[in-house]
Amino acid sequence: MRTTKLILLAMIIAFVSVTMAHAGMQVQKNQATTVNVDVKNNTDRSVLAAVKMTAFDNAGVKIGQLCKQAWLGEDRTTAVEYVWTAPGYATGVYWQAKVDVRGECPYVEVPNYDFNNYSDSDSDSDGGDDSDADHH
Amino acid sequence: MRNNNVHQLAAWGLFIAIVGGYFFMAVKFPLAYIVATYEDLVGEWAQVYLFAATMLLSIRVACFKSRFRFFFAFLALACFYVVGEEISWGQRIFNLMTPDFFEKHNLQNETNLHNFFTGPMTTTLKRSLEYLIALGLVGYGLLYPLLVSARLKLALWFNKKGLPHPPLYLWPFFVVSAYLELGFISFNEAEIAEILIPLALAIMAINYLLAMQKYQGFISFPKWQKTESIRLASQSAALVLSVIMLAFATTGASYSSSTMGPKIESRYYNGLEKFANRYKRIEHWDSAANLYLLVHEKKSGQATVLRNLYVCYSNMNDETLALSFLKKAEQLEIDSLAKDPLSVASHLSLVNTYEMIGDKESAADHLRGSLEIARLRVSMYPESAVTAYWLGKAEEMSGYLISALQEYQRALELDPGALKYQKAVLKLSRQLTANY
Repeated sequence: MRTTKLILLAMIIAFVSVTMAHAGMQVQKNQATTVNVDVKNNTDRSVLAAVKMTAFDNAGVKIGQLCKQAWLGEDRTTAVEYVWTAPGYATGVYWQAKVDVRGECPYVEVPNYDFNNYSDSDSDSDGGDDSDADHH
Repeated sequence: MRNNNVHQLAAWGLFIAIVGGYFFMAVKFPLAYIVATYEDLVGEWAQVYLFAATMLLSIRVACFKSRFRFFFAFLALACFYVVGEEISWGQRIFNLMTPDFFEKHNLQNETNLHNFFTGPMTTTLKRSLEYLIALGLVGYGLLYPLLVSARLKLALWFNKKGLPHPPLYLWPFFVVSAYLELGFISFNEAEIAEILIPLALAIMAINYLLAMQKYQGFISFPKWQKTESIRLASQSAALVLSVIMLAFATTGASYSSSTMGPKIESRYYNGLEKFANRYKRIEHWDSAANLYLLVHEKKSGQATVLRNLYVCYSNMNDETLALSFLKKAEQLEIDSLAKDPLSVASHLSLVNTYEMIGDKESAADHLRGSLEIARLRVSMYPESAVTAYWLGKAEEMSGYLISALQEYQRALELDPGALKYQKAVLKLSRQLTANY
């Protein structure tokens, strides 16, 4: 029952609008570029999901697979950005998006650190006397 | 005006210039106040040179045969220790790495001894030491010379045994330093005390030096002649001027060096933010906003700074500008999350931003997200102190204070030297103690 619910939720949430930041744009062979996706969660439930993007060339050959886990807030659009390297030959690229609710990203490591250290200073700025001790 | 009091007037003039100057800078010129009090900048170098001067003068006094020579020898040794500690025994000057032992056990992760006992956090031990120092300063700088001049037996006994008393006119230096050491204003004012104390000791040493040069077998201060008084005054003033010049020169030289320059600049900007927080706390919105703007110019990627700018401009009744900062903070974290969607810090930052905006639903949603992500990361990296810490942060913001404390403690166990985790444990422990 729980699985069915999740699948249903996944179907609803898979209302994904893929905004190709570089749609219509050309990138050089082997060039690293960013791929931006906006995922709209139309449901009234926020979920942690794996947002998977698969790239195919003109011949339908898979040329890239990108995946990031993200928190998709209820009734909200969440932006996800990937870094992708273009293939070493000229081709059109077609993207397929898939949202896997509560899914994981195989072969993608969840970082055990946080890049965003700046956001950690709110508590220090609240005026605790500890923050006054510059040097003693 | 009596001419043989010139040295007293000069000392009081220096005292008023220093204390008044710091007060004036704090109120009108926050940037100058930072330069005059913050680490590796002019104020701290002035302390170093004043202690060094006191050390040299004390050595000179100790060379005379008198009952005070051991005291001055000890004072010289103490000043040497303080100078070494102030510059972390050259660690920052010579760009040395902190040895492992100090990294683990020193409370400020620096190569010095005093931070083994006291660190940047307020603890009972640190507070007790501060009170002890304050009592000592009042006792030695005011009571002792008063009791000696009143010919109290006990005071005279100490004096006879070799404890010199400072000239009574230096009492404002000691008493005000005692008050500043206690840090009641929370404006880094202990740094001003660390200017006043060595200056008072140096002037005291100058007095003893002259007395010993002029009067064989001197026991108590004579009534100085006019020329002697002028000499004492000019020596004190020359000392202060030399120290100021040396402090500026050293700061300038350090700043222009390729190794220390970037570090000093980074500390300076860190100082700007700290002082901005202080001005915010005392509701000096204009000064706080100006400092936050400077930090924002340098490090534009800080949502905390933008939120603080919102608070400042809101209180300055510029709602439009204030809201623009809040919107920037929101966009900044949304962009950050697009790159790193599993950042607990970014989610928590958004919680703060949405709470300020008044969007309680979004705030609650990001809080749930941060908790879920933090738990996922802890399940994947149970031995990581960072993940434990961020789970603690998410739990704390969600109101699960006890489990948050457990996570902070776990983070500290995994990385015992980390100040950030020590602070988190201490702060939340105090909060929990206060609550129950």
